[in-house]
Amino acid sequence: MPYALEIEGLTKRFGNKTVVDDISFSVEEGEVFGFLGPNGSGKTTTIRTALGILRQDAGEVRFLGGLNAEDAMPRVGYLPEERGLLRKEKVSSVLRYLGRLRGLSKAEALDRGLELLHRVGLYEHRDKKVEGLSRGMTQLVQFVASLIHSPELIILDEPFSGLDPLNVQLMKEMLAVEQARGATVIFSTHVLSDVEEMSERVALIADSRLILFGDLHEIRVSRGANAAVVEAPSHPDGLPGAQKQAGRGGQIEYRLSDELTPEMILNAYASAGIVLSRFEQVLPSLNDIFIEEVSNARQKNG
Amino acid sequence: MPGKKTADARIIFEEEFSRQIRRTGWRVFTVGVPVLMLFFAFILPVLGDTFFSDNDGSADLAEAIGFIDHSDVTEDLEPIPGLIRIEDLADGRLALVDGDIKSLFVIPNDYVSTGEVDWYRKGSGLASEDSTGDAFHNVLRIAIADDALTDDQIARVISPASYTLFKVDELGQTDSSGSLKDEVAKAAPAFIFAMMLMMSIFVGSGSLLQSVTEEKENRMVEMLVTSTSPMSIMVGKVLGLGAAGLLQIAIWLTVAAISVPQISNQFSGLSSLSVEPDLIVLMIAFYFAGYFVFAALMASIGAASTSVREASQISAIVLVPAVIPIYASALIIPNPDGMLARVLTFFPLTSPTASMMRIAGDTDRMYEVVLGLVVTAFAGMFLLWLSARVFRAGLLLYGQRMSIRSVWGALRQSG
Repeated sequence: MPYALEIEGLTKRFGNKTVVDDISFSVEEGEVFGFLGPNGSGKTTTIRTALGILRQDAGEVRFLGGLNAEDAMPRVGYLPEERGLLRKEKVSSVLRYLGRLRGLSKAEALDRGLELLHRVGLYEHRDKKVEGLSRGMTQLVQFVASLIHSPELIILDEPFSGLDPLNVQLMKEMLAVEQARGATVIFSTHVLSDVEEMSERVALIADSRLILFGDLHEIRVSRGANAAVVEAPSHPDGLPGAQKQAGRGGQIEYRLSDELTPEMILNAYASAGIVLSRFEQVLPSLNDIFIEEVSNARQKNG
Repeated sequence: MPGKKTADARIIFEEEFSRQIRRTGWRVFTVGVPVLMLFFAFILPVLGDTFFSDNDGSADLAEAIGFIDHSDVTEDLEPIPGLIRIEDLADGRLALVDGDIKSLFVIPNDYVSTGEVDWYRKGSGLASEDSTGDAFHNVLRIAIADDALTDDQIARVISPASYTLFKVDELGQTDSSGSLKDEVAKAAPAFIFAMMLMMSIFVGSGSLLQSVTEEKENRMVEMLVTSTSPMSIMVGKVLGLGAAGLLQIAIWLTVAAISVPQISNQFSGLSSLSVEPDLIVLMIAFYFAGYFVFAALMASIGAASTSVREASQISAIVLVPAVIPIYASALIIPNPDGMLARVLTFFPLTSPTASMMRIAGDTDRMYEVVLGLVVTAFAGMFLLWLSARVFRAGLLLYGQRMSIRSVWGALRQSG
């Protein structure tokens, strides 16, 4: 599978502080890739450095089959984390301007801008000045600007922050359309449910370092089950790590550990003569993995 | 991709130009200066017909003056238009109150021995600035000399000489360079040009400062630098706003071409003001060279600053030198080849205005002015290149407090 983005050993320092530390990962063409990390972990600096906004101190970045950032930029759409547009200009003028800089003619930029404004429900605001829009609206206009030239690679830095659930859903639907068109989407976030919903592959960074990268399902399988769910008419007493699940009738979830293996649970039910209607081992959630990995990284770094 | 860079610079040029000429501030300033010129040319003379005094040797009065003569010194005086002989002080006061005369002079009988004259005026204003005082001096000169001198001699008593100047160069060669009036007429356009040049450069470079700082402050800059190169952004911005400044100057020059001769007609002490084509060419060349210098510096300040307010404060340091030659005009114009004038000609921040002042002072060393232009143009190009680097480096200073050290560090990192 050819890569839309390959990052190898990327390092960025501000003075003596290393804010991106030897990070390597790759994004396959056509996928939606989640770039995860807690606040202040270095996600934005990694993206800015990869895009060439900041100069890297070490490492290599290749776009769309081997291009450098400058050559690839006309084929890349970028939504920065810090939002902002020309406040005194009309929405349609800003889109026309940015569309032209991304290689469209005046007419193409305007047509495409208006079409996308239609799709995000802001068409009637096309002649308003940007300063007259709400923060969420401005964010949608900026999102539109990042898609205006139908880019092959779309990089979105915290795209859903500050948006209401309806607009988040709208943005996700539009990204699905872009992916169906063949575009690759990379988005950074610390909201794990968004990643679980949209991405198959992820990279997780904490304290400037990459701590996890790969297929989300494979990562979860490789960790092994960390819980077991049992459904039965009654449950034996004395098993450690039992959590009754609210509103689920006779269902109990056991946290697995060295003191409580699946075999021990099954033996306990058999000894008590209870017939199970369901027994399922559960893979760790992304939330579990995130908390565990980030905590480990922080302990390791002191 | 040089083709894309050029195309991007053109797009940014178009956007910045059209944005600038749509700005209210630009429009008000572009229209305001010509309105002032037209005011001086046409309105002011109508509002006050005594605004400009007349002292070219003729005895005609611009305003009616009344006089009472107890000394008989004016007994044989030929009638002079505007000069009204009054017999009685009460009548004279009434004529003043009614506005029939501007001033009333009472010549006592011992005038010839004392020289004392009573002057009655109505209303406000300084008597020392009132032209009727000088006008009545001429009346008295004519009256005293009337019997002894011819009309021509009387004219010379009033206006003794009109100088024709000859310049002697270092080889002893002489060259007629016209009259004093011509000299003033020649100096005035260069002086006016220096003012226009300074104003337009300030407006253009100030807009650039605002544009760069705002884009950085509202984070638009991240969208721009991922769309095109810093050099395309700088070149597009500088040329777009520069073209708007040039359009402004073209409008001003057109209005000046109409109104300046009209203004000069109001000053009888001046010959007709005429603008030499080579002065216009020099002015436009200095506009571009000077504008590049200031624009590049302003863009650098904007790129390195973290807020519009911070940028405005620092920009004053750069703008002050441009005004120095205007303030020092009293030193430069009379001595256009002096050390001060020459030094300021070769310093890019002062060169445009200093050179105009030297032209106003009729410098003998035009080659130095041209050399100053070349120095300024090269400095402008270098600073433009540098500003693209600072612009690039300025991105590294998000949210950081600006210091020379941090800017230098960012410049090195952006390398």
